Amino acid sequence: MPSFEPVPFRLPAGLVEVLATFGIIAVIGAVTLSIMGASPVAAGLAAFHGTLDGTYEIAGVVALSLPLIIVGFGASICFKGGYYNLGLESQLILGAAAGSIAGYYAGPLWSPFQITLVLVCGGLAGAVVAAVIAWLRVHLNVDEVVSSLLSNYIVILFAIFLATYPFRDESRFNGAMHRILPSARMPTMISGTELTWGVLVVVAVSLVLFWIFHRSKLGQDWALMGRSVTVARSAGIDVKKFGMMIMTSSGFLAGLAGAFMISATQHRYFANLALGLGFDGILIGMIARYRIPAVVFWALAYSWMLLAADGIEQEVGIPSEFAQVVIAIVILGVAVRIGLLQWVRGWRQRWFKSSGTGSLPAMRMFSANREGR
Amino acid sequence: MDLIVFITSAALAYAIPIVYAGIGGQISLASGDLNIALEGEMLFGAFVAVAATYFLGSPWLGILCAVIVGAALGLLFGILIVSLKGNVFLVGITYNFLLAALTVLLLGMIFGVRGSFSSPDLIGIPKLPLGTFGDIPFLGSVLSSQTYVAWFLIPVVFLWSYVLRSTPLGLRIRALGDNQEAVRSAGLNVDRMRLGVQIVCGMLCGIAGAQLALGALTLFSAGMSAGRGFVALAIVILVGQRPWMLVLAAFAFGITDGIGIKLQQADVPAQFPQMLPYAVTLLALILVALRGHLRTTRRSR
Repeated sequence: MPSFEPVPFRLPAGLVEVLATFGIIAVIGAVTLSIMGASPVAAGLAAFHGTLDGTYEIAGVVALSLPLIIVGFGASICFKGGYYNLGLESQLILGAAAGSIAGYYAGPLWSPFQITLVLVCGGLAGAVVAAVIAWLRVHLNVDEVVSSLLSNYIVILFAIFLATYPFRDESRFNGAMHRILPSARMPTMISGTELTWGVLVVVAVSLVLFWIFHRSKLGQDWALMGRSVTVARSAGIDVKKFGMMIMTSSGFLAGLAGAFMISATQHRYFANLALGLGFDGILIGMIARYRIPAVVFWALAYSWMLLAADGIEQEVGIPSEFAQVVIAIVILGVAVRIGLLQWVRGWRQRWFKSSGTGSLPAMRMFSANREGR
Repeated sequence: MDLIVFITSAALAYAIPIVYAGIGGQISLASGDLNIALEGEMLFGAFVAVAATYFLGSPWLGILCAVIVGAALGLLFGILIVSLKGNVFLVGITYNFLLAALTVLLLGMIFGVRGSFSSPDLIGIPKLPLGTFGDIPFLGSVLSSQTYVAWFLIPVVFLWSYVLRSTPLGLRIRALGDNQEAVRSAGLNVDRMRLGVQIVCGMLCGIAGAQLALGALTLFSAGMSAGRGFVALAIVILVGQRPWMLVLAAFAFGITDGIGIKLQQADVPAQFPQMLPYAVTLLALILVALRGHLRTTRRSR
């Protein structure tokens, strides 16, 4: 049905998607707030004052989004490749712990070198955990969904153990590691804010990943793995090695995000740091539908929504979890959008009695679940 | 002997919600969907049970509400993955996230507390009086402290075991997991059956949540399901379609949890005993996979 095709601009398609999603978020948010007995207008003003009213607030939004962008990449590349690493949460936390250790114990070094060391150590810590899960999946066929979910509890407890016993800062009351050396901290970009020059790291990672996933042969193979392992195998890809690579690189990015948090803002790992951030990254990857530029955008939007919800909590008294509820509802919509569109189209056909059968075969292809399980 | 009593009762407290949720997971997996939303549905069931018991004043109504809400959640999950063809993992992750956030939000809105809620007005599920059986040494004190819901598990497992093995319905559910096309060509409505399975699964998660929050203790705290849904899922993968093995495995993991609790009182870093149930579950998963792997490689030689 050509009449349903959008007008022949290329660029606005993404813009329309963004605006539509934002519109839906705003409507659901306003409705939720009204149900809870708060004025959406007051909440909107509170959200504005908390996040966009001044340099400090805007820098805060960007600073919070940086680790989310990296872990969002981790989730995206993994899901795009057809693997479900749900252990990003704990890989990020172990990365933070490893980065914190490297930032304190590896003597004062030349600052750029030590920051790199912190980031790489964090990334490797995450990569090791993911590699173990991947190995079990690829060679023993242990379902990575369940094993990574279980690994979260084990790895997070292990990170807390590290902070409580061997690497504990004795001067702190609770399980916390030592504050990392000044040479391991990223320099502040705008003084008086939390924004650091770490932005450049994120930009560099984004550009590399953008090139890989949207411009290179590797990215095509990667997407092929996600669509069908059988096809990928017959296209000459070593499926086992590739699967290991997909999982391990997503773990590396999660660990990198954790170490980034340490070097940029937190400066030490302590128990309960960054809880939930890995799952936030998964949601961001899903709402961005695994596209690298979209991950950057939605991570910014997500961190804006989190801080806006904090502002709303302070001024209107609605618990900030309401933002997570709204976001989750929207992402559920995104996850089932193909079926949803099909359903809407079915209704439209019933109402307008238009001819044509829709595009059923194409949709079957999309909804095909993972092969070989 | 006190130790055995302690560990057995801790094991039962840990295992019973897992078995309820696990049966839900087993039904769901038998019909072909690996349902990772067990965790969130159980957590929400716990919240509903606590809230309903607090306001209606009866744990029975609390359980009823948890089951009804669980059915609704299961239906919604079913609609998302069956009617709207969402990917079961992506929908499952988001569902868990949504329900976890929703419990915290509702906890704040309804009770005005953050983190956890408990009240003297909150009545736990009554315990089944055993009469003279309660006097049996060792076992008596364990058995007499079990709730009606815990005892109700036995007929539920019997029923599920019977349905799965010996009824046309069980055959159809299993056929659904093996080959949907075959079920469709037999003239059955695949979508409706999968929806029904998810509703039953949600109801069982509701009971699991009620037992979790009103069984051994009477409180709700944010994230109190603490991965039990995932452990249940892992057990389901381990035991396949054997309901009684599910009970046994859940009890075995419960024992490791009981040992873990005891070890925490000893001079061991608390994190390792806490890891125990998850680590043992994961290890069991790996061992079973290894066995299957060895078997297939031997056959291929």
